[in-house]
Amino acid sequence: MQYHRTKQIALVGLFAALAVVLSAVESALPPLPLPAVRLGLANVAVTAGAVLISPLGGVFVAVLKVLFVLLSRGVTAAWMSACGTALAVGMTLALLPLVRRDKMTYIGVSVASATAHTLGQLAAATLWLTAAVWSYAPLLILFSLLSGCVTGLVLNVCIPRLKAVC
Amino acid sequence: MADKRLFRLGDLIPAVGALVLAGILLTAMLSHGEGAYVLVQTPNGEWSWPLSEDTERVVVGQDGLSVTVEVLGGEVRVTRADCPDQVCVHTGAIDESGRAIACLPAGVVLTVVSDRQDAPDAVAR
Repeated sequence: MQYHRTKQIALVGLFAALAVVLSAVESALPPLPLPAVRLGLANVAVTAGAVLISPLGGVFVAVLKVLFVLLSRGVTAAWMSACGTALAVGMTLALLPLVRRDKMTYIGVSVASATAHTLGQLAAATLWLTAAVWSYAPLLILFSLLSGCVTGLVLNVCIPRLKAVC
Repeated sequence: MADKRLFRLGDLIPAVGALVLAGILLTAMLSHGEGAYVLVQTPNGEWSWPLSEDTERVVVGQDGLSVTVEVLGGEVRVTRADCPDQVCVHTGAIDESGRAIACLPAGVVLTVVSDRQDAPDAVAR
C-alpha cells in the first residue's frame, strides 16, 4: 500500500513534467496562422494521468500544469488556463467511464474536453476583458474539434502501451 | 478490457455537439452582426442614419468633393463619387457592424455601427 502511494506520487510528478515538456514542444512548433489558438498537447499528459494514475492523479497533474503556466506566462495566462483546464478536466473525468465501457475512445474525450477548455477560457476572458471575445468562439470551437481529434488519436495510440509500464 | 480500436461511433457525440455549439454561436453572432446605423464622418461634421430607412443623399466632403450615399434594404453603399480613384464606389454595399467605406480624397468615412453611441473611437479606445 505504501509502495502504491509512493508510485502514484512519482507518476504525478512524471506526468506533470510531461505536460510542461509538451507545452514547451508546442511553443517551439511553427506558429499557427490563427492567434490565441494552441493545439493543447499538454492535455495529453493530463488525460493520460487521469487514466493511468487515478482521477485524482489527473487533477493533480492539471493543477501542476496551471502552476507552471502561472510561473512561466504570468497571472492573466494562468487565470485563463485555470478556467479552461478546470472545465476540461471535469469533462474528461465525466467521460472516462464511457471509455472503460467501450462506448467511446479518447478521441471523444479529447474533443469534449478541448471544447470545454475553449468555453472555460472564453468565460474567463469575458470576466477579464470583454464579452466581444465570443465573436471568435465558433472558430475556436471548430479548432477544438480538430485539436481534440489529434490529441485523442495520440492517447488512443499511447495509453494501451503506457498501461504496460505504469 | 478496452481493445485498441482507434475510433468508435461514440466519439461522434462530442464532435457533433461541438459542431452544433459552433453553429448556434455563429448564427447568434450573425443575427446580431448587422448594424443598425451608418455613421457618416466628414470634415464638415458627423451624422448617423438608420439603415432601416431607404435613402439617397449627397455628402459634401473636403475640397468640394462630394459622394452620393445610398441606403437600400439595410445596406449602405456609395453610388457616385467625384474623386478619380472610385475606391469607395468599388467597395460595394456593407451591412455588418464594424465594416466601413472610406473616400479619402473627400475625407468621408461611412461606418456601420450597432447603435448611435458605438462610434469607432469608443471601440478603439
